[in-house]
Amino acid sequence: MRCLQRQRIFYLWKEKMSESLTIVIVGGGTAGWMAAAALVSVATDKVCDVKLIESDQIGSVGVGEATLPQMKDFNDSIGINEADMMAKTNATFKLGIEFVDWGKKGNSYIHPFGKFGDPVSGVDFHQLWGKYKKMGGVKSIEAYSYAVQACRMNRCDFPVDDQAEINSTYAYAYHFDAGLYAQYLRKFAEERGLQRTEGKIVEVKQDSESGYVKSLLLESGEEITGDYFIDCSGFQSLLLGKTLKAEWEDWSPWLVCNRAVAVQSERSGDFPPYTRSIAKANGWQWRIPLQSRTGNGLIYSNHYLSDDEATNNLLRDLDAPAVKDPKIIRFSAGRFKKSWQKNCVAIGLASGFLEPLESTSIYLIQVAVTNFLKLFPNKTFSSALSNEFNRLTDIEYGRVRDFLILHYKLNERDDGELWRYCRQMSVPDSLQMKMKAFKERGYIDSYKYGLFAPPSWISVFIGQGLYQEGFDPYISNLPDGQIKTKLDELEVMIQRRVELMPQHAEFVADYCPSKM
Amino acid sequence: MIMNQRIKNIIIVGGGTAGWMTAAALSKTIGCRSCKITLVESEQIGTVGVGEATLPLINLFNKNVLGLDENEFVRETNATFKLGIEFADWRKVGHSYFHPFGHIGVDMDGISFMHYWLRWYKAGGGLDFSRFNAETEAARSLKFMRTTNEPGPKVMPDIYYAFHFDASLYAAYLRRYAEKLGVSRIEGMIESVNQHPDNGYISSLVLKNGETIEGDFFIDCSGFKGILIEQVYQAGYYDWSHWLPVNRAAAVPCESAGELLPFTRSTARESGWQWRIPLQHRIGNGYVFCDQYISEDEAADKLLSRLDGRALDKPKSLRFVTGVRKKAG
Repeated sequence: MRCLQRQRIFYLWKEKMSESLTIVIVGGGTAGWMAAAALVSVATDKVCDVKLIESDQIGSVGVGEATLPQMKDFNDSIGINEADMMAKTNATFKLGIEFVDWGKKGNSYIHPFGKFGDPVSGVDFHQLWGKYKKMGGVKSIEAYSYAVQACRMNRCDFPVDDQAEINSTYAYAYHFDAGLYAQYLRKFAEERGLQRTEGKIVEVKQDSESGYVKSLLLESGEEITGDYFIDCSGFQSLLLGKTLKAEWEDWSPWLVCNRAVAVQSERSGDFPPYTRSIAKANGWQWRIPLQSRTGNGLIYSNHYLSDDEATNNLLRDLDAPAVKDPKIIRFSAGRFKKSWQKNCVAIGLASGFLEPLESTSIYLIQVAVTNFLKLFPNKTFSSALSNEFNRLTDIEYGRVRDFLILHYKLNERDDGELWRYCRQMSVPDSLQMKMKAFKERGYIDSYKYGLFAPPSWISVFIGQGLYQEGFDPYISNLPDGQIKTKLDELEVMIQRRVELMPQHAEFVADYCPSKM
Repeated sequence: MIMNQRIKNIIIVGGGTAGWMTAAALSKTIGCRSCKITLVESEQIGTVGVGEATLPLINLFNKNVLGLDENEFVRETNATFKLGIEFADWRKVGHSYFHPFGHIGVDMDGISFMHYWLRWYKAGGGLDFSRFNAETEAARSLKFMRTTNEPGPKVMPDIYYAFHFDASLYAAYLRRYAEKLGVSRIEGMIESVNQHPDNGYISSLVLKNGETIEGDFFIDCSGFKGILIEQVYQAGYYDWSHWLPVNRAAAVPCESAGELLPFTRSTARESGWQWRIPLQHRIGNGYVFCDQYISEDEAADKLLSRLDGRALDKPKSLRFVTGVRKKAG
């Protein structure tokens, strides 16, 4: 009996081997190597063979150097050693994003990776703060976020697990050199058996009947066949866009910026545990502190600013000398309506583009990789899986889109045509409803999965001047005095604990000093 | 303009399960001090009250929202415990499966339990996956207990459960609860509805006895009729009967019989399905069917011939169309 069972297992195993999939990843930027690293770490060679094709001749965009806290989950889940990765990518910690001059000039607020206070008797904390403000309170809501206070005081440390502690109320992400991160993942994946082929693709061959991608012909004459192709070819979208002619959804009427100029500068004394986004007359500028240098870039629309002007403005506004020549990147906001079609899944810029205002590019890569692993296909090419993948992708992209548009819509700036346009533009219904629900009653939907959680919406709504006018009726149950006491207690608790944290620069030097 | 005005007068129309659950929840959370809460119902109308089996989320409502004592609630409503639903003869006659509450197995290394089980099954393993669900195993042996929170390592998974109860007793129990917290109940049939001439908002209800009931906000719990949402506002209805063609039910209670089962049973029948819901004092039964395939009389006869105990009443007939209102408000 046991023998028979063993034979049967062996038979199934052989069958499985013959069914093993070949997955070909096209392109080796952040998206390609994240997909490769995740695939080899989760799916053994019994499940699939993974190949990656990239060409050293084609550079990667690789400016997406700021991440979200979900990045840590991704790294942890595939077995990356954090301190080692950080040391080898010149990484620093990120507890949020400071938005300077957004909404109106002179404004500054931080979108933290952490919450404001806890609900009291079932009433959300921001309602308490809103009520306090109505009663004449002058303290910003920032006083009640541990993460914001850590940012403001330039401090950094690991959050603790014990939820009773105030320093459990935040999470962190990384700033890193995306080029080095891709290299790091390459080494990680190759050590685990990933086969990398150097070469430029000159032709994509499709099945004449079904249109499925059959193989890729390289310049060298080599032909790479596969069952599934993951398109990580960046803006050119070689498989999904160019070959399968997927339908594009244009979001540029809402997100009008279509150019970025990026340049690195020397590390300066300004070394905060957060990304900075500074609104400018016709766009906005990012500032990402790494251990080795600072990443900078100006995002703009060429309707309002020429490439030369943008480059000059960026160089003028650096706080330290540039170390390389500025690089111009062209894009258009939007995405392919379906990023999984036939036997091709596009991940990263090959599937769509949203400007890096909220550091969502790498997050969207991560979600696509994770969803692909969750819906891992076999040779039956089931549309049930691709439909579900596309549905999940829709939700994520739509929500991120709305959140980005919000930053542009809520502005009182009058120093640039861009801002006047954005203030007057009509926004998607889904965003209109969110803004209305917040204004009228301080209501914010919270999602079980995906971005963005209520504290993020709160920080941008309030940070850019959209205050709630109506309240959760249950707030009437709370006496004014109790609200004030709660707020005061929380503020003191946060201040006391943040003061004990090390400086960000110190903390980085101690935990993950650069090895590059 | 309206958003800054606090609602001071809420009217609930109808006093079935929906009406009294709403009244109880509002009186507990908003309270009747700053807002008047009134429920209008008529003893002449009667409730549907056959929905006697619930899902585990009712615990959130009973405990977290209302703060009810579970044992008291069970006593007051003649309730029994429910670990899931047995589906008999659904796939084919003679086949049966159990839909349990709770989890099946545990996920390991980021891979869901289902994949481990499938792998094992394909390799010739014979174990039914339901063996890895505590609720199913307990239901099979007619057992029940609550999760114990004893210190030390966990020896048992959490038990997920709901209740079978007498819905009329539940409504009566919640009525006492809500009235104690200040909800006022008005007996009466609604004759007509007045609307604001400007915006069409409902301003008051006129009862058959001539009484007028004014309110700021109205909650329609009038059952199938939809006195406000449909008769006044014509909200419209998504008709799902092409997918779920059953449109009638015959319901009858019978005497308790046999062991007390900790689960609901649903048995597929020639033109629909039959429910069996064990309470402390009786068993609730019903035949849900489509009148295209069987007449109401025939369905009632079939139901009476398939009871475990003596019928305690004449079968009651219900008519419905499966679907949902296009807008609830």
